[in-house]
Amino acid sequence: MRNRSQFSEWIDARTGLVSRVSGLSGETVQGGAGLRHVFGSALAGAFLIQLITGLLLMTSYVPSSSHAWGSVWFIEREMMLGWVIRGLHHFGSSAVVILLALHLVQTIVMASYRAPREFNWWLGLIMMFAVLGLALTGYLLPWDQKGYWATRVATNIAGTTPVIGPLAQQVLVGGIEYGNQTLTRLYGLHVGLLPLVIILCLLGHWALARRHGLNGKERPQRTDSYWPAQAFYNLAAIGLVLAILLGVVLYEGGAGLEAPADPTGTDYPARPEWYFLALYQLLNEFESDTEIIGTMVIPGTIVTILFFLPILDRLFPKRLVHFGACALIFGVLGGAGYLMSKALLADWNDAAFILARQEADEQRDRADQLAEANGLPPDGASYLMARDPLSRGMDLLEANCLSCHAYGGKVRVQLQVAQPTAEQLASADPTRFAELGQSLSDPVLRSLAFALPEDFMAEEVRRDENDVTQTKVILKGKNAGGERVEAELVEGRSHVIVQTEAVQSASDLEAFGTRDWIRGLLEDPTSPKYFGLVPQCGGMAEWKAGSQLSSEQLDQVADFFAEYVIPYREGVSAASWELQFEDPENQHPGYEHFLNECANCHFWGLGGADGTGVDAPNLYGWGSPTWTRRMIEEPGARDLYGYLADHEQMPGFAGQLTQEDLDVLIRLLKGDFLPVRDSEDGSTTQPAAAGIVVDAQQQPD
Amino acid sequence: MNRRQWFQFGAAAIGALIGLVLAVPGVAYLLSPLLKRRTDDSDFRTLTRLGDLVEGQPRSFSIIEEQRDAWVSYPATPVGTVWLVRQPEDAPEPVIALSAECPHLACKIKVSGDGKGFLCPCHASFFELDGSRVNRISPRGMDTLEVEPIDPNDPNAEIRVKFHRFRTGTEEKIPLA
Repeated sequence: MRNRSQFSEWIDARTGLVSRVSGLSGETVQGGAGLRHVFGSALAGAFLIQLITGLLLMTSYVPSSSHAWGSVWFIEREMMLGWVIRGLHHFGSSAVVILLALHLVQTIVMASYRAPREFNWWLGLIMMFAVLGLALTGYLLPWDQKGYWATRVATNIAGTTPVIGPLAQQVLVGGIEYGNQTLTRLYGLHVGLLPLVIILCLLGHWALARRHGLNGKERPQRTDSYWPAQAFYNLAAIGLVLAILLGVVLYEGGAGLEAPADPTGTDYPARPEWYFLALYQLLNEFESDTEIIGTMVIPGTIVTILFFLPILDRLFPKRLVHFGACALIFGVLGGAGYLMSKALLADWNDAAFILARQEADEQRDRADQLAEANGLPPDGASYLMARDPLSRGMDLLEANCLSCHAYGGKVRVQLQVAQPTAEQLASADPTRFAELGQSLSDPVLRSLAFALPEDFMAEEVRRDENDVTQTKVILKGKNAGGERVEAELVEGRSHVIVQTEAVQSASDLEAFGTRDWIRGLLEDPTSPKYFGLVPQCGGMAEWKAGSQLSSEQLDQVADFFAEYVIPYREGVSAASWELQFEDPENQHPGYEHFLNECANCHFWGLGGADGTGVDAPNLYGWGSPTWTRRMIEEPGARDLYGYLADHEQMPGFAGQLTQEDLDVLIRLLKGDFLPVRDSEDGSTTQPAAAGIVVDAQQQPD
Repeated sequence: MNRRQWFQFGAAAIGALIGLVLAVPGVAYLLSPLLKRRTDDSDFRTLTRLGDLVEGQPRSFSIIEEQRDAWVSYPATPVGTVWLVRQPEDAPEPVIALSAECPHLACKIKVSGDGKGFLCPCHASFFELDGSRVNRISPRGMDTLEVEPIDPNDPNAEIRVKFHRFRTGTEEKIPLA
């Protein structure tokens, strides 16, 4: 080449690099440069973007089940433009898959699998699998709910392979349980083996493409060289891909991160990334005994045909094979599109999915808020939620306490989604709610009849037509147990959301163990917040009826509790604790009122149970974590509510809750937690989901 | 501009743009640690009482602090060590505090075998009991830390020290932000 500098000559004489590059870039493009040749390069370009962003992510990511989530959270929220890098990598995988499909379609349409390009075809197919492998393994790495559950499903599909399946699964997962070994193994595949396979195949693919030339109709009037004409088109295509990617990342605000993986949680609505959605739906199309057709047989057959395409091309008439190959690829894409829209439509119509998704969104925001406020505990991301009173604590409260108690006025609300099949609707009795009036159509009446229990007694029906797009029907009533039941459905859809509210029969636990609670109790023990709904605990009401204590004096009693009773110290006996009040100068005014009024029934220290004739719990250390823990574990102890043995009484939870669960529950009662952040104006609110239990099971057939 | 030149210019421009779009977030991402300034929230903390220190006998104390390591918050753990040296009665300050982090390459300084000075075991930097250099391996003497003024005659006076880290390998004592 002309005009080479001395430096280039020096390099070229020793490496031959300059001549080689200029030789390659000077090669002519058969049929002239153009956009039809850009797909391979755009694909390689997208892969390069993945390589660069992936390497950047590697500098901050930790492949450990304890800290993967935290490191990804740190990249997203704390590192400069980390969300852009991760967003590009995340959506880049979609770009690679789309470009791969385009490149594959073009190769088949142009019959470029034919001799002498067989090896190029096979290398391409190998790379396709490596790319899909990258997509699958990458999904897990954040170790969030999404990746965790999707990977469980994917590896379990691998496990259904005949003969080697279970072994392959165990090797891939690194054992039976999903954990550190799963993460490190899939990480090794994702950043080591699979990229290496692609890079090696890409070098061969590229060299062979040079050897055989680009495929295209000859256009003799055009004699472009690779540089600069085709290079321009290729770079323009890569630039376009990057621009779209950047646009998507900015629009979506990054890749997003779900709450940390929770292997004990059950209602996470796991869905694969969109490009695997068709496979996911294919799986759903089959019953369990024929499922292998969807997971293995159909995909396997398609892949086998693709692999043998160059050989079929020699065995059968070329035009027939080409027609068949085109029909296959468009058929597969069309089928995938159909399955994908079916899956999306199913979710869109699925109230249970939507509810579970809402719950998952709340958990995601909570995890983010907790991480931002206090960082992650050293023992890992899963403890972020497990030690949060509003997450784990609220779950425990709902499961164990809210069927009798309330929390902040809210009782346990169970949501059930009834999704009857056509046959179930046909067999439902539309006359059951006939008395509700003629305004309801037959399908609505059938759906309601299917969804509501036999003992449901209707009280009120309402049609909500405020929303122009849909009309809601809301039916309210009670069941035989007196629980409020509310059914809601949208006309034209068959599923019904049934909400069952428990009947409060015990005190409200919000702020239990604090000064506020005791002050409220002293003010009005008959309020439903305290013992109004618990007739067997009527002692406080009796006391109140006869008590002369002024509001100020009640304040003093509450203050005395806040200062001396609730801050209980482990190991100090009631007797030695009481000695501090011996000195009259030291005496708290609340103590005096306590002795005069409360001590008639309540004791510190020994006594207070049925044996002494006193029907009231011992108050030594009331409100302290120790006292509340005992109350949860053993409410029927003689010094607590043992005197209620003959009545309906709170069950003990000893042995059912771990130490950590008890701690988190007690902190919830005391209000010792980070308030939920309100994204709108920065102020904070109480938990919106308190008392809601979503039971998203489909009704059995 | 002919077709070829146009393509050359276009390819170079688009190539540069692609490079820029990837490089800017990439570099910003890698340089995150530089862009993040931690606010100096260090405070005086009580280590011991004056009466517990003996002149000429340095004692080491741990600095215990809650630590944030990227995304992880650790409960209070020792994050550094301070040597406290009681001074003679006529000295301007009753106690000096020296960071145990060697100004050479940040190894941990201990008391030398004879107890009459300090020694860094990594590269054999020797220091006097007042922290000044004996040999010239470390670029500066041991880093003194700020001690809250106390009454030198009160043996119950609390020794309170403000802990800091300093850049290593420089002659000047430059606090790390």
